[in-house]
Amino acid sequence: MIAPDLFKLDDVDGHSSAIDGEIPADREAKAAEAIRSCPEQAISVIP
Amino acid sequence: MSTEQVTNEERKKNRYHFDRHTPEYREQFNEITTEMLDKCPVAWTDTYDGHWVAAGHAEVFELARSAEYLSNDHDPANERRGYHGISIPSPKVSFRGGFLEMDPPEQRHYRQMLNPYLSPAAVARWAPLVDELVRASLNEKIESGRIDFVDDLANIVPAVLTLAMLGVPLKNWDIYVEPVHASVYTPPNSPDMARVQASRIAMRDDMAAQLTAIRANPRPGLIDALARAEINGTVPPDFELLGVISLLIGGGFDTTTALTSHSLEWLSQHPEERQRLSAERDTLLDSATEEFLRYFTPSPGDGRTISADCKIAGQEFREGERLWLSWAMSNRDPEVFPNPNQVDLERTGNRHHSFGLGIHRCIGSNVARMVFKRMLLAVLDRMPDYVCDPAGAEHYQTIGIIQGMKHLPATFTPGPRIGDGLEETVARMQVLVDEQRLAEPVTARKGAATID
Repeated sequence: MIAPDLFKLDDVDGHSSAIDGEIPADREAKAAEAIRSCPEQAISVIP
Repeated sequence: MSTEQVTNEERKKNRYHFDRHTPEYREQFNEITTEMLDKCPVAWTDTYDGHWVAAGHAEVFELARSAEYLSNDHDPANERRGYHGISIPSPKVSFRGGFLEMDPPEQRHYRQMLNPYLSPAAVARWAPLVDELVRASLNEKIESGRIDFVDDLANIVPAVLTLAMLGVPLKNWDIYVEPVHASVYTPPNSPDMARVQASRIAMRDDMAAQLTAIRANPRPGLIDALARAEINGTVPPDFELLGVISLLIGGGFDTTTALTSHSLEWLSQHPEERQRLSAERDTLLDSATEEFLRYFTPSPGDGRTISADCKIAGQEFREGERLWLSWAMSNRDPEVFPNPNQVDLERTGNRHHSFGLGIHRCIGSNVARMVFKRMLLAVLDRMPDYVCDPAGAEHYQTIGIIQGMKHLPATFTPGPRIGDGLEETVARMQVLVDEQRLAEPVTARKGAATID
C-alpha cells in the first residue's frame, strides 16, 4: 500500500477504505500519490 | 446521426490486423503496441471470425468497468445466449472456466464465498509456509551452483501453496504442475500434445477425487467452501465446481511463475539494478513488484462479449460482438506511463492493468504479490551473483494466453544448504497445514502459520 496510515483493508473481502475522513496536512502528498496509483481510480479528495 | 444509421463499415473504420497467437506478435510487441496506441486504441480485426481489440489505457479502463454491457458468460450448451467466455478464439473442447466465465449474480456469489480465503489478511497467514517452501526449493540446487529458476523454484512454490489453500494434499503437486504449465505453451499441433492431454486428464481425475473426498470428510480450504456452496439458491453441479477449481489452479500457478522468471531474467541482465533492489528493498520492493507486473503482464488480456448495443469510449458496439481487452498493451500507454517500454523500479502512480479491472479483477492478486516477493528476496539473498544463461532461457513462443517462460537456467557461486530438502519440507508443511488448520477462511482463523 502507498499510504497504510490513511487507508485500511478489510480482513474479509480485502476492500480498501479511508481510516479517517480528514487528511493531515503533512500526508497530503501521500494521499495524492495513492489517488494516482489506484488502478480502479476509486479514490478522490473532496475539497 | 442516430445509432441505427451508422453502418458497420463506418463503425469498423479503425482496422488493424491483430493476431496475438502468432510468434510475430511476441517478437514485434513493442512496435505493434506503439502503433495501435497511437492510431487505433480501439480497433476491429478480421482474425478469428472478427473481433474488437482495445489497447488504450483509458479505453480498456472504461470498457472493462462497463459490466452492464459486457458479458464473461461461457455457455457451450447454448442454454442462455451461447456466448463464448473469455477466450478468443473459443477453445475446441469447451467447458465453463469457473466464475471468470460467469456474469453476476452467480459470479458475485462465488467471489463473496472465496474472498475470506484470499484477502490480504488471509494471504499474509501463509507467508511463513511460503518461506519454508522457497528455502527448501533453493536447498536442492544451492550446493551445485546451477538452477533452472522455472523448473526448480517458480513452478514449485506457487503450485504447492495453491494446493494448500485448496485443501489438496501437498505431495500431489507434481500431478498438477506439469499439465498446467505445458498446456499453456504446447501448440495444438505439437507431437507432445498427446502426453500433455494425458497429464491433464490425470489432473482432472485427481481434482474430482479431491472434491468427492472433501465432501465425504470435510477438511478446510477453498474446495470445502465449494463443496458446501449454494449459488443463487441452487447447489451447483460438480462439473461447474471443477471449472472453478481449474480456474483457481490456472490463476495460481503459471501466472506467478511467468512474473518471477521474467523478473529474475531482467535482473540478471541489469546487475546494478539487482544490487540496488537488494540493498534498498525496504523502499523499492513494492514499487519494483508493481513495475515488473506492469512490464511483463503475465496474463496479457481477456475476451468479452458485448451483451447489448452500446457506445463506450467513443466506439459503437453491437450485441454479440467479441472484444479483446489487452492488459499488456494498455500497460504501455505513454499517456499514463512515461517511457512505457523502460523498466523503472521506482515508478510511481503505476495504475497497471495486470490483474484486470472491475468486477472480474484477479481474486488472487494478493497471493501473487506475496509469493513473488518471497521468492525474489530469497534468490537475492542466497544467490546474489546469479547469471542467467541466455542460450538456455526459453520463452513461450507465443504470448496469446500467458507471457511465460519454459526454462531459465542460471549459474551462481555455490552456497550451503539451510535445513531440510523439498520432499521433507513438503511433508512437514502438510502436518502444519492440518494441525494449524491453515486453509480455514480468515473469518475462522486469523493468526499466521507458526513454524517450529
